[in-house]
Amino acid sequence: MKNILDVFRFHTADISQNSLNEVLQTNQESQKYGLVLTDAEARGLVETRNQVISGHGRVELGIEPVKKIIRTFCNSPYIYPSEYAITMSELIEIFYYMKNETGDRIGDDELIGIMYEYFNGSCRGSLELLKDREMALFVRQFRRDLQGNREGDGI
Amino acid sequence: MKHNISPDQPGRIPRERLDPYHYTISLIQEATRSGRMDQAAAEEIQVQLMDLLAELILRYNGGESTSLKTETAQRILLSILYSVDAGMRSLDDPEEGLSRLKTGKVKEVYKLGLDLIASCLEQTRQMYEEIVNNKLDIPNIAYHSTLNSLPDFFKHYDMIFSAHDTMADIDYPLLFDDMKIEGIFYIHQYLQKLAFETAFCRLFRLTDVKKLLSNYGRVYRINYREALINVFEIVLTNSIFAVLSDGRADVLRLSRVQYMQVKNQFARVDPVQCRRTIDQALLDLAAGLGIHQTEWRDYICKFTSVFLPRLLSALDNDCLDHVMILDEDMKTHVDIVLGEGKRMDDEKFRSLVDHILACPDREEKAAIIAANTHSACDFIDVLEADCLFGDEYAALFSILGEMELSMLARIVFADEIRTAPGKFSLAQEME
Repeated sequence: MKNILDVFRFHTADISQNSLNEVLQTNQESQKYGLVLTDAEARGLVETRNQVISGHGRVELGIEPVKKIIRTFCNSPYIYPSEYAITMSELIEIFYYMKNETGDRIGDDELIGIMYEYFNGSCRGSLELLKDREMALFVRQFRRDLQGNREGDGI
Repeated sequence: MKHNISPDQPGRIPRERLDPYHYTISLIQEATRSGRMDQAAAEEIQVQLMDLLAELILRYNGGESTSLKTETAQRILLSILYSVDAGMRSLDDPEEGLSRLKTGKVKEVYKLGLDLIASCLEQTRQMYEEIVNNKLDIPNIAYHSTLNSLPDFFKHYDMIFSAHDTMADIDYPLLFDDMKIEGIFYIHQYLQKLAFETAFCRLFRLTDVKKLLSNYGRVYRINYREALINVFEIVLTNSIFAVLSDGRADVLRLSRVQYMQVKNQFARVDPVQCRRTIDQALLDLAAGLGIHQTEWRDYICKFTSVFLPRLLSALDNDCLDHVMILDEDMKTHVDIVLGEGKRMDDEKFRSLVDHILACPDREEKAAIIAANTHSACDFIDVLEADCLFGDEYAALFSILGEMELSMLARIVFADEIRTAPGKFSLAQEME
């Protein structure tokens, strides 16, 4: 019997056809903006998701955040068809990085919304600026506020 | 789903073969090992546990996120297993538990466990209130601080996401604690035993208990107010000697005459006879104090395993008065030089250490220390300050008198002397 306490089974499982289909279904919406994922790219995104989750020491229940990121970002004027898959891959990485950095205190939808605002706003589509400047500043401010709230609560 | 399980399969899994601290997992392992459950059924149980985990992860995140850190997920899974274990243990026998696991009722057992935990929490809280109302008025910091810390545990105990956590500052040692138990069940057993130990001590006059502690501190040269000692054990020990010498269990103050009586009684007695005598004394003690409940009589009788080696060793080494605490005012022995007030302040101490470090000669170093340290604590601090090297220690010790060396050894090896008075050997420790 495999270790019954092995919570990693959530994300080390083989890429199921269901997960792939779910990712490919996002093409229905993204193709309105000229963005389409091939089978291989969809598989690559699921693989990236698995690696990122594992690398960040996280457990993920499903493929939902990946779909949400694709659906949210596909209307961005800064994403080009030739860089669509790689951009999504980077955004997935930033998303889980931020989940850790904010100590899981921000919900998935809210975090994706924040990333979207910065990406289309001050970053003008730059993933480097998004991760290394805006998100880094955001985390710093977030922690400061958190500390302030704790001190206010006398913790 | 069909699995290769036949209800008429011979051989049942005996409860004693299972690990009570990891009941469910050991049951699954035992059932798989004995062929009463196949791999597919075991994996199906795992899937059910993971479904429960997924449900709780969503709940933990308030429905706003589907992921979390691995360690948090593992903590939640351990909490689930803690509840499942509680539910499984409450079932009549392992077979019934196994049958529920195999028929997809993991969640049902989990909920049963949660109910048991909730009820145990409430019972424990009430028990705590009773103990606090009846606590001993003794000057022992650990005893009171442990009791004072428990409201925080009750306030923060999280039976859903961290049921197995025992986040409490429990410093006061019990005579027989079971530290393998976790979570609320640990606190429950701790308080149950503490309640008994407290009630036991209350059978004696408080002034006698306090006097005994003071004498114990004197004999072992410890500050009994700060030491992590079990008061029940000290009281029980003297009570045994009272039974042995006087036939009365409710007496704690022992005289030199009683001491000689016990010493003579055990002279030339072999260990088997000795054990028999102690076992009987403990039974007489329980009867004499009106302790008839089997559980608590057994708790007292279990003390033989601790007491007997201690007694035999003390008899062998002619130091019975280290086990049997006599009610004597031995003023001549109250000579511990540990006055906190006499210690030098930090700045002075740092400057002394710098001075010692700067000195190249070992004899001179020893002289500086001798001239500047006037309390044993300062002296020990100097020894621990890494300002002496190699044979400089020997140079320092050579200028100390026999009395000073002996006192120093008593302070440095206080714990070893207290826990194994007969076995302690300075020569061995120095090696």
